[in-house]
Amino acid sequence: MANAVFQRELRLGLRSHRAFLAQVVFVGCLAAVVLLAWPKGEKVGVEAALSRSIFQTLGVSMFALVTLLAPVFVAGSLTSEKEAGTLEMLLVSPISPAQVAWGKLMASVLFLVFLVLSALPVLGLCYFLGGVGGDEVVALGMHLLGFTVLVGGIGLTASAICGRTHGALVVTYLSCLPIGIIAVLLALGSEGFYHPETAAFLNFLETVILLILFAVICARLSRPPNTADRPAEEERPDDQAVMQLQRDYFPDSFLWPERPKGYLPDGMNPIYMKEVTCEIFGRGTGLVRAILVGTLVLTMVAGFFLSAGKTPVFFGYLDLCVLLIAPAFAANAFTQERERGTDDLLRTTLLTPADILLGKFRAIVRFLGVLTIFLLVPVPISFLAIGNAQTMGMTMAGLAVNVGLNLLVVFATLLISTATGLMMSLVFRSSAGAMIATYSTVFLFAVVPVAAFAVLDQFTTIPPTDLAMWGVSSPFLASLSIGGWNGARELFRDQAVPPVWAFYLVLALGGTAVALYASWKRLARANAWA
Amino acid sequence: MPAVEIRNFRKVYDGKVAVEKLSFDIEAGDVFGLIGPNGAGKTTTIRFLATLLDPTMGDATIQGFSVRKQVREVRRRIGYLPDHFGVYDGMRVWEFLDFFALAYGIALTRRKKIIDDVLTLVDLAHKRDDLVNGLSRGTRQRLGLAKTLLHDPPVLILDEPASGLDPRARVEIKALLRELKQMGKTILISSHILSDLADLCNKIGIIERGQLLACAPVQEIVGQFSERHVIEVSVLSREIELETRLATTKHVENVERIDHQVKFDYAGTDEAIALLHGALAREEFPLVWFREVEVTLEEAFFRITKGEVS
Repeated sequence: MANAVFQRELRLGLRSHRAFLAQVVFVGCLAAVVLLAWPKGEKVGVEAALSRSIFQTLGVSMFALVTLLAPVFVAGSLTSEKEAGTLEMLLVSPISPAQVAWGKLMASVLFLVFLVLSALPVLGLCYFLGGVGGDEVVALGMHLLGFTVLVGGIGLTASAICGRTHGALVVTYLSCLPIGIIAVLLALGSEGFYHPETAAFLNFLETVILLILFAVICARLSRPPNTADRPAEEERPDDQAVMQLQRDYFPDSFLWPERPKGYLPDGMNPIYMKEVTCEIFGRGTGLVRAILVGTLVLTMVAGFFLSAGKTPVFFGYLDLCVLLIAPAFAANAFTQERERGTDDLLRTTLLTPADILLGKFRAIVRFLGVLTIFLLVPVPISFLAIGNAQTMGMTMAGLAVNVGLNLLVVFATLLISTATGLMMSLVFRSSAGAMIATYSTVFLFAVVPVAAFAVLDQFTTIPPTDLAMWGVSSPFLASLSIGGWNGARELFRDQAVPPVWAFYLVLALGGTAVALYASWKRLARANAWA
Repeated sequence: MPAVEIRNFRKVYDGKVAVEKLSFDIEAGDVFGLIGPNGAGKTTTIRFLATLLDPTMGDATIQGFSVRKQVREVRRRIGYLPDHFGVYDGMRVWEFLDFFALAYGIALTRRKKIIDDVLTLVDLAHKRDDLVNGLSRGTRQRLGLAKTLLHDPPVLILDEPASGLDPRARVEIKALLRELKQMGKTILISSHILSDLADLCNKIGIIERGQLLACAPVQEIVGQFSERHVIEVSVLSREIELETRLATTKHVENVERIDHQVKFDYAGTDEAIALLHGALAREEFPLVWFREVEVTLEEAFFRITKGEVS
């Protein structure tokens, strides 16, 4: 293939540490699942149900890993060119926009396909256990490849539309997460999912969607908008598709406060004011609107779980939103200053490292806090739902306590993920590096324990109450331990659930303090503040 | 006491020496030009003085305060303009200055007047309400200068303030720097535009491969080459023959040929120059001109440096 963009991307991409790490994490996680699930002491002929269970667990793990890892590789594909100022150079070269788009798409997608292919031998192991047909292994492989290619296409489209990597990453995650959840649910529950015909049909649909996305990317590259110097104020409400945000109307002003009319008052932290009024909406409202629309639509869906007496599911969803959105705003807080060239200006003022750090921390926590409050709309409805408390076997007061504790967990998640993002922003030189590190860290502490819980509970005899204690770093297990869902009782086999939430709160708040202290030390040392 | 004193400054990046034992002084009220080829160590030196870089060795003082140990005191006394700096999207010119004025701890009661004053000084009063991210490069540079002046620092450290500006903007910046000089500010400025520095600076430091090759008043640096004449000869043809002829002539050094022109240093007297001119005419070289070239700062710079980077 003589596409110069494709060749360069693939060569540089496969040469990077990130590619190697992703391969190790992907295959390593799947191998760990197989190792844990592999029947002990039996030579051959394990029960078909167990074999099938291992196969499904592997499939679900692969979908989850692709959903989490793939956006990291594709979302920065075009935005990094925009940030480095090299996109214009590419577009004015003899390479056509379609070739650029095709090269980028193929390089991103092929790497992800390599990733999936490298894990297929692990998947194939289930075939030898029996109980799983060869056609089912092939069907799952087709599903995975189609899904991977689709995620790649969505990520690249976001990269073509957004101005910055962090924006593209957030949009990709918010778009791919629902698709990933649907894929996981289908992989878990539908027998028809494992038929090659179903896989072929879905692959066809995915190809059609990919072609449409490709056309969108080409159109975007053919006429790239000159947004580099376009200030937020110039964005008219008419420019804002789907949802409008206007800072002089309530409740928009709550999320996007108006700038002070006059000079900043004495004693105010100028960094906080700058972050709240300029940084979060610095390049327009597009990113925040995309987040709002995405999360609000999903909240309506998640709200049904709350009304149906499944509080851990709803609050788990809120935790997930926070875990996805917080790094997008925190992980570039300092790298952005460096990349933009305002870092030196700030460092030579009389602001202390604590002023700068806390100003940024407060601003991001405030924004995410307000966003989370917006997402709590279903909570009062839950209280109004007739018999909702009774469904969960609670009094209204009990339900209030349950919701209150869950909220504490969500806000603790918000604090720790923001503090982690800020710390990574000081450790890494580029926004993309800081963001990948932050997402990896929060998923390691928040998602991996849940996956480990599910796998170990299914394939070992360790009591689930003991397993839950191993996952005290996960807000999802913390929410689950608060109760409020009969399914959770079944999960813990009616045994007393340990107060994981209490440990989680201590861990998250302590972790926030540690991350902030480490950030402060780093900031002070790096900038030689007296 | 010098306004700026730098002693044995050494900076090593990953085993590579960027600056090697640099020492010089800048007296109060001086305009000191730091010049050198790309990669010579100018920005490293400037960032060290601006408290942004930990030295591997050495120290510097600004009005007696140590750059390493009394960072806050130094920051109160310096105004630093980096070679490249960004602005915050969506801020207006006065808001940008208000933000930095508060960051320098300037009280609200004084802030408005100070912002108006610096805007007038840099001739940006009419752009007060413009958005900073819509400003042209030259205007943005003037905004940067306004920002460095907010807390009225006695020492200004300016890294390439005129780089990338069009001729008109360069002239405006130069005029502004002259005004600041008259206000008694001590200015350390790095620039590639040597003719600008020659007009503006009273002292020059030439740095190459991290080492200070010369540090003296401009006239002194230029003057060290005035004991010899720099002669330029243009011929219609036979330039190679002329080059060879001159290379073997007594008192002639550094013969350089570019197209039909040959340039050389001549250590003889005026009479000897007249004799050389007569000799070349007699040898029937087709002379277009034979003239003495005035040594400029640029000329001196090229003679002192070798164009090497560290």
